[in-house]
Amino acid sequence: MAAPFDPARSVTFDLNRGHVELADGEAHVLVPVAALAAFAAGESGARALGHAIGVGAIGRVAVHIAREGDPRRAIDGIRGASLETVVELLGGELAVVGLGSLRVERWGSALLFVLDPHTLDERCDEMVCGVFEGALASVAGRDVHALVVDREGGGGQLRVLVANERAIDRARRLVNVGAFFTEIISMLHDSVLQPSTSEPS
Amino acid sequence: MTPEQRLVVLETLLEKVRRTANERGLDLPSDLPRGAFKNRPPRKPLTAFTETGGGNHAPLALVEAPLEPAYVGSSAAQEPAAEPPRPALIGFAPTFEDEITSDANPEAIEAQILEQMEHEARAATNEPAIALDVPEPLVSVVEAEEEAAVSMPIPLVSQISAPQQVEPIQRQSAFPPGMPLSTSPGRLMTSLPSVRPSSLPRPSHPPIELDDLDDLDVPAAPRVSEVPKAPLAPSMLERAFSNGEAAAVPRRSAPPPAPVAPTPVPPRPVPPTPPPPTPVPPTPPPPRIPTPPPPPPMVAAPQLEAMLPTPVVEVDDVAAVVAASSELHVEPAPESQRQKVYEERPVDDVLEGISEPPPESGEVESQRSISRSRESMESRPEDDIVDADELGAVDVVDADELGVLEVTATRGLDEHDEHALLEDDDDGPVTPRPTPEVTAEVRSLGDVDVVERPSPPKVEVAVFRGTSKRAALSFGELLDRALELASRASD
Repeated sequence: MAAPFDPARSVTFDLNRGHVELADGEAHVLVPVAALAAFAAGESGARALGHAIGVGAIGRVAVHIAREGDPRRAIDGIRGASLETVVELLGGELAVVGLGSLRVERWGSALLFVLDPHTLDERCDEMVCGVFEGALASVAGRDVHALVVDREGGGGQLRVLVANERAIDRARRLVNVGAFFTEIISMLHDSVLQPSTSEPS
Repeated sequence: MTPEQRLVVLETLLEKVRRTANERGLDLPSDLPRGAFKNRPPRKPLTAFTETGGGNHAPLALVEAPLEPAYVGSSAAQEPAAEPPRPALIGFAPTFEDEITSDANPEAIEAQILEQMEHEARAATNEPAIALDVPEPLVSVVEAEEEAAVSMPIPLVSQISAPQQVEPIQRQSAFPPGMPLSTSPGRLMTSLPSVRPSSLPRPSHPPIELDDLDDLDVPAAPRVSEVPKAPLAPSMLERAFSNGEAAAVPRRSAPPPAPVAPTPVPPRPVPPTPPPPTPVPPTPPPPRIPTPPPPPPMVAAPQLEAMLPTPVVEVDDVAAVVAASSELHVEPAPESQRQKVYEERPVDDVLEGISEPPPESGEVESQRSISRSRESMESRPEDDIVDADELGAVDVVDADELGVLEVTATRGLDEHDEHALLEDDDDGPVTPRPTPEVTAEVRSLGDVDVVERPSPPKVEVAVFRGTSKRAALSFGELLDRALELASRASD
């Protein structure tokens, strides 16, 4: 008779790297079943899937903050919290899910959410943008748009710009023409320096 | 060229010179002995440098410069001997010297020597002693002296005669004796006419002594006003000022004099300055006028006295005043003054709550003021001891009531208010009421705990131009700013 199932070391949560690996060493992402079902049924896209993951993560952060204060004002607690606190809590939630290690960069007024490292390739950019859009929209109280402006291959850095719809559209055009993310950010800060190049057809 | 060869050449040249001089009839000095050149003492080596090479780094070689000694004491020394050929102190290389002696034209050399000898002979006839004193180039002083000794004619003892009496040279004036000498007169000086003693008038009276000046009606010294108005020197003006007779000179503080038409004053000769004054015996200082004693210091009179009419006190009134004042001390003190005893009681007794049992006689005295009270008791009768209940009487005695002077009784309690003492008299010990001092504003705890004060003016020593420190914004604010980014930018 074979040896009984040993769950030990069957799942490994590397919170420093934000990796979830099973016994075979394969990276996994924890997704809600409902979102997966909708995505599998074709009822929603990857951004919606990611949106569901993000809403779940910020919900858990709010619960964590609500433990120390009024649960009805959990969202206000997130808004009033410091950036470091939010990054710590939200990054922990994303790391548990297996999306990577979160870092936030401030470039002037712009906020860049960086996953460094991460296990997602370019095909998951829409899903990653949906994660941050869903997580931050509930905190900001309005629609939030995200765009991957920088990516390094091999599990490197993944920078996601969070801004309004207009700024994201402009940044997207700049990304399509090959602008570096610093140039994109500087152009967004300077309204005079508008991209003269048109989007390639 | 060896010295022997040089001697031969020199003797040859000298012979030619003699021969030529004899032909021309020149007076040559006595002949040198033929072997004079041979009897030369050994040459003294004279160190000299010569440059053997043309380059700057060529070595210097030492050469021996010949020095011709002087021959003193020879038979020919009495006559000016011909100057021996002078060697050059700075010698040249032997080859160059040889070239000179070998290639030189003897005739030319002879001509030069003759010309030099003629020149020297001519100079010797005029000033023989000085002729050879003229140093020639490249001849040292010692050599020149030796040569002078050689050339100077030394007289023999037999030839020495008695010394001539040299009379002092009478200085002759450049002017003839009859010519008058006079200097050009100066600007303010005039040439005085020559006066002879015979032309002076004979005095008809005997010479006047200084003591006789008083008998004579002659002014001792002319006054300044009498001195002719001639331009005086500044020193004379100062002297006039010091004499005190320059009253006519307007001072700055004096009113300006009446305008007077300026009259041209012809320049006159300065009168002869008087002889220096004889030392004047020290005069005793003028008697000092006894200054009156300084007035008594002014004392500000009291205001009451200033308002009252000041009575004229005469001598008779003084006695009355003294009598009245004596009567004041003799008379028993009025009732009001007797209360003073009680009030002079030390306040400490009242403050500390010392309650001494009053004596049966009703005397109220403090133990601490026994001595003082005894003194006061001795000076007054027992009837003057008043009771403490007599407080409140008026202590001021009118001057009109006394009739003479104003008398004011002073209180012994100057430190406390009279009314406060009277009010607290019945309550026992008097304690000063604490006065609240507001040092800081006290607010309730519910109010703002931080008192905002205006910040002091900033003194900017160095201005920071970099990025300002980021404010600690919350996550919600940062997210809002990020969402506002480029929201107004046009597409």
